[in-house]
Parts: sequence; C-alpha cells; structure tokens
Amino acid sequence: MSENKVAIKLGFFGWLRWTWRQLTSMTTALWLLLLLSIAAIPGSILPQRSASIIRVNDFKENNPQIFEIYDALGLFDVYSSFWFSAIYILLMISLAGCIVPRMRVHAKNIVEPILSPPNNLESQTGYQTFQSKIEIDEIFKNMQKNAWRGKLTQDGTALTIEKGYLRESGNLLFHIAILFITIAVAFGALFNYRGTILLIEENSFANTVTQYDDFRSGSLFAIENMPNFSFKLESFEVEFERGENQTGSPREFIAELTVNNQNNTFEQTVVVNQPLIVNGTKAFLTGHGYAPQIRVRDASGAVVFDRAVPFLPQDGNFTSNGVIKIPDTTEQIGLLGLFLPTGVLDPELGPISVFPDLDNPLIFFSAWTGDLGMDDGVAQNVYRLETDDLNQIGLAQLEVLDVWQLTNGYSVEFVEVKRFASFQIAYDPGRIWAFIAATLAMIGLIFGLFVRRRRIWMRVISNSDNIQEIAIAGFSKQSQEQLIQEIENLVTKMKAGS
Amino acid sequence: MSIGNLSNLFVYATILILLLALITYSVALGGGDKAQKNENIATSFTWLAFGVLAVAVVLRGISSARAPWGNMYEFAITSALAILGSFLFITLKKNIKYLGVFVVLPAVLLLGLAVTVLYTEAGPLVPALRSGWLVVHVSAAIISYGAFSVNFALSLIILLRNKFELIRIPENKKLDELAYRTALFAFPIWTFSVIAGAIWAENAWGRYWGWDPKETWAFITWIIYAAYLHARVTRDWSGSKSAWISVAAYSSIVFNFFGVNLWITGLHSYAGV
Repeated sequence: MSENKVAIKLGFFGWLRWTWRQLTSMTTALWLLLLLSIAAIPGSILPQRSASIIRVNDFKENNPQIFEIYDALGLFDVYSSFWFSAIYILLMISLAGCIVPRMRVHAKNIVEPILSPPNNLESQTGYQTFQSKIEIDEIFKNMQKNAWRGKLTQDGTALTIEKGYLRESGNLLFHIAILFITIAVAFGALFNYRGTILLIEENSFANTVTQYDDFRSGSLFAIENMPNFSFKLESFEVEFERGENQTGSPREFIAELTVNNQNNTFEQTVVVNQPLIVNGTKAFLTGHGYAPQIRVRDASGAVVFDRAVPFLPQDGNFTSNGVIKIPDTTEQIGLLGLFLPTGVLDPELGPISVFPDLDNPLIFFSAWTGDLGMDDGVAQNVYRLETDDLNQIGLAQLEVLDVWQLTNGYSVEFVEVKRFASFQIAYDPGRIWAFIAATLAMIGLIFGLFVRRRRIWMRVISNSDNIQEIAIAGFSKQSQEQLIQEIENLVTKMKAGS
Repeated sequence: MSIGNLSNLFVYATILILLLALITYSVALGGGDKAQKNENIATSFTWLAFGVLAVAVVLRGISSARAPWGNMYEFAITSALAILGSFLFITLKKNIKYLGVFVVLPAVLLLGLAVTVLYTEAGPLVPALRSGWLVVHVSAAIISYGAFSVNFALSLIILLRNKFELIRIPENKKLDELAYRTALFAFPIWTFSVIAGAIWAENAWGRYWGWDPKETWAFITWIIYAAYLHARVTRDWSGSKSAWISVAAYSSIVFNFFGVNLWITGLHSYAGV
C-alpha cells in the first residue's frame, strides 16, 4: 500500500488524532520552546508600549517608515502580539496534552500491583549475591519501614521493592504549576489596574481614574470598584552622593505621606523597595524631579498664573524641560523652560546642570505669543509647546526670586523650587496565585529532578542452616552509579544482620 | 592603602595566577608524559586563584559595607569566583581537569573586562538596590551562572571534537552526562533566582513581571535551558544537538550581562555601570 492511500484512509478524525499526537510530542514541545525564546527577543530590543509609550513615539519620529511595518507586525507589543500568544498557547496545549496521559500512567503505577523479579537478575544493574542470616520477609518489613513499596512472591523467595514515585509526582506538579502561572498571569491581566501619578510636594492624590497621568486596567476590571483612598505628599527628601566616588548617584529618596483610607488617617514613609499598601493596592515610589513655582502677572499687576510646574528630567543631573501655557489672557503666552538644579553655562554645551541637587537652580525661558491652540479642543501634551506658528518675544535666565519683565507688560517670577515624586500605583489580584504557583513549580522541580526512581530485586538462591544466599540487582533510568552504591549499602547492612 | 584598593590588588593577582594556570593547562592539553603532572600543577594554581579572588570579593564587601554585587564590576568578579568554584568543586569528585582551559579562559576574560571596562570604586548602593532581595536574587543568579559555565565548557568540547582531535579528554557520552548533571544542578537555582527577582520587582516596581530587557533575557535563558533538559531525554536530540542548545542558552546569559547592561536601557540600568 502506498503512503498516499494511508493518508486518505486517515479520515477527518484520523487527521485530528495525528495533529494532536504531533502537537503533544516532545519534539514539537522542544521546537515551541526554542521558538518562544526567539520570539521574546525583539521585545527586549525595540521599545514596547507596555513599558514606555514615550520611547515608542520617539522611535516613530525617528523612523516613520519602518515604524509602520514594525507596528503592523506587532513588534511594539510583542508580548501581547498574536504570534507570541500563538506560540505560548500552543506550548501550553502541548504541555497539557503531555501531562494528562502521564498523570493517568502515574496514578496507575502507584496503585498497580508490583511485578515479580525477572528471571535473569544477572544482567541487571549492580548484580551480586550475599549471605544473610535474616529471612527475606524480615528484610521486606525493614525496607517497608524505610518507605520502600514492594511485593514478596507468594512462595516467599523473591522480592521486588520500589522507591522514588515522588520524581514523577514532582515532574507533574512542576508542569501543572507552569500552566497555573500562565493562568494566574492572564487572570491578573483581566482584573488588574495600574497607573502612574506625579505628585508635587504638599499636593494630594485621590484614587480616581481622572487623577492618573496614565491609567491602564484589565478588560474585566470595573472602575467603580476602585478602592477609595487618598494621600498627600507632605515632603520629599532626596540625597545625592557628594563625594568624589560616584558623584551625583542617588543615595536616599524619602517620601513622607499622610494617607486617608475610609476616614482612617495615618502617616507613612515610602521609600524605594517599601511601597504604601492600601486595600490590596500598592503605591511605589518610582521617580522624582523638580517643579519650579512660577508666577505670572499681567500688565495691571494681577496674578494670572501661580503654580508649581513639573519639569521632566532629561539626564542624570536633572537638566529638565517644562512648558507653561497661559491661555486666559488677551494674548496667549507660552513659556518654554529649561530648568537646571545646579546650573552652569558651559562655553561649548551651553546651559547644563552639573549636579542633581539644588546647588544653583536656574531657569532658562523663552517666551512666545500667538495662538497656542488650546481652544481647538484637541488634546494637547502639557509638556510640549508647538512654536511653529508663534512669535518669540524674549529670552531670559532666572534665578530664584528673579522677576522678568516681558515686552508686552507681563512679568514672570521664579518663586521657588519644589520637588515632585512619581508613583506607580498597582493592583493585581493574580499575583498571589502566580506566587503560589511559582512556589509549587519550584518544589515540583526539585523533586522532579533530584528524586531517583529505582527498583531493587532480591531472590533467595539457596537456603541452609538459617543462612540464605540471596541475589540482588536493580534498575533505574537515573544515575546507575548511585543505584550500585545504594545496593552496596543495602548488602552491607543485611550482611551485618540489621 | 584602603581596603578597596587592597581588594583590587588581589583581583590583579588572581588574573596573574590564572594566566599561569591557563598556560599550564594548555601545555597539558597537548599531551605528553607530563600531561597529568601539568594538569595537577594547573589545578593548584586555580585553587590559589580561587582563594585570592575570594579574599578580593570579601574585601570589596567590607570596603563598601554591603554584599559585593551592587554593580557590574562586583557582579563580574563574583561570577568569576563562581565559575572557578563550580569547576574546582567538581574536580574534587570527578577528574575533569582536562576542562581547565575552557573554564579558566572565560574567568580570565571576565576579570580582564572587570578591571578595564567595568571598574567602579567601592561605594554605597543606589536606593533601588537597597533590599534583602539583592543578596538572595543575585547570589542565586551567580551560583547558577558558575555551574552553567561548566556546562558550557563541556558542551563546547563536544562540539569542538567534531572538528578537532582532542586527546586526553573522555568520550562524548561521559562529557554529555556530566554536562547534563551540571545543568540539573544549575537550573532549579536559576529558576529560584528568577522567582526571587519577580518577588523583588513586585516590591520595588509594582509588578512581578514587566518584560524589562533583563527580565526578558532571564526568561529566554530559562526557556532555552528548559529546552536543553528536555532535549537530553528526547530521541535524536541528545549529543551535538543538545550541545548546541546549551551553547545558545549560555550565549543568552552572556548577552544578558553585557548586551543588556551596556547597550539596552531598562529598569536594571544603575549608576556606576
């Protein structure tokens, strides 16, 4: 019969069975594992939306054409892309298809009667004979005390003992736990929420969606279930290395909070690695920067703007960029600012900051007038000022308390510098399950890799004057050396009559 | 002389001693009557280097008053210690002195890079690293890296043998078995390190897994070693195919250390490299 005919004869269910068998074979699992490792690579090299939308947008600006192609392939959302998901889902199916039959076999092995020893013990591992004063059924009882499972033949002349079922149990536990980790991750992704906030000293945050700078939640998370709490950033202390070694490295970030949770007010210190925990939601200190307080007066001297404005840090010395937009005036004014905590004017590089702390705070402003586009209803980036259609009306360098007189009669005052802290706020109900599953996987892995499954046989060859001649040998798929050693130890013990 | 400088001096001494070991191992690999003797001498050099480097690492810890793996330099010298340690530990039980060149060479290269490119003065930790998990997570990673290095050396020999004649080295089957056992030892420790890292990440950044480049490469390493362990028990995949997988897995470790730290920016980038 030709192969073609066999293929036709397989039929629909035959094909299904064939596909299933292929999918659950070890070779397929191996290829899927290798494929998964390769598929994970692009996400570590290209910026990912899940990590930083800003960096994705930067990439788009720098390489607009490649961006389109990459984006269509999902290369900026690798870990939620259809191809990455397809690989791991296939892997999980393959895994399930492999362990379910193995669980059945393992269960059967545990309850099934143990077979009598084979006839040719001589050809098995660690074969030897020894003389023993104790009867073989006595030996069996001793072995059972040491957690060996076994069977003595009915005539009482041959014994089979087994140990190490935990190897397969561990193996199965590990693989099931891996499945559960995946489920826990997926469950968490459906019901979680996370977001970032930027909080200036002496300001407060209430846990509602509108207060987040960036908020993402799982598709099944109900926003009305967001826990009700708020906190105020009383103070934020920062300390940088001033010694010669690693100058400017951060040494201490300390945020002092007053937290209000369901009419219960308490104080809490939050540092990196020590989040605030309220109602299962955690708030982590993830970054910081400066927010200069700027006061703008119109020609009549009335204050039209007076606020601390967060400037986003651009480098390790906190050279920071910020924008101030003053729309509610006869003439819209935009200020483009460069803030330097320790400012110097470098002859080549221009204004730069040389230390991250407030040793010599300076702001460089350029002032612009014209239509800032704030009334078109299009959402605007508060950290960006499009100056293409604006007129520049001045440049200035300000120290704290300096007042800058603009040509149109307005004045800009650099009042003081406050600090801001960024917090990541996260709630993930899947994490505890992922943790439990990971712990079980770890336990399963250790049993699955290090427990040895082995079987030892003994047969009485001759019996005279209370001294028995016994043949012993064993079988194991794992280390032969260790099995031989184990048999050796058993024989020594039995010879000694214990 | 400060304790930190003393530590540096010991690192330089280690490099010198390891170079001696390397030469002696290379001579032994060539065969000849004195091969056995040369191997023993080289191994003694390696023990000496291990001792001196251990002192260097401890002094580094004392001078900065913390666990000495807060930056790439410290991580590199401790990893070199783990590579030598894993190798020497196995020589106590099995004769694998023939492996000397393939273990000492990466250790010397790593130390060379540490003192030239990665060097940072001893100092306190940045706040992001101030956690008990640093000791747990990083030490587990370093121990498994040490054992994976021996696994890599063995796999490399299996592959080199296809091209070159290597006398004085046992048959591939033995190498393969030993390589498998080093991976069996290292894999659970690596798994533990990844889990500990996830717990720490949950505590510091608010998520236990975020596909940060370092995490991604730790995942890649884990997946490839998982493939390696499966390949060893799959028909047609043991031997040079699984040796290739082992080499790929080790490459991912090397990339995770150098590529990710120096080239890609992510949450695992810290001051002082």
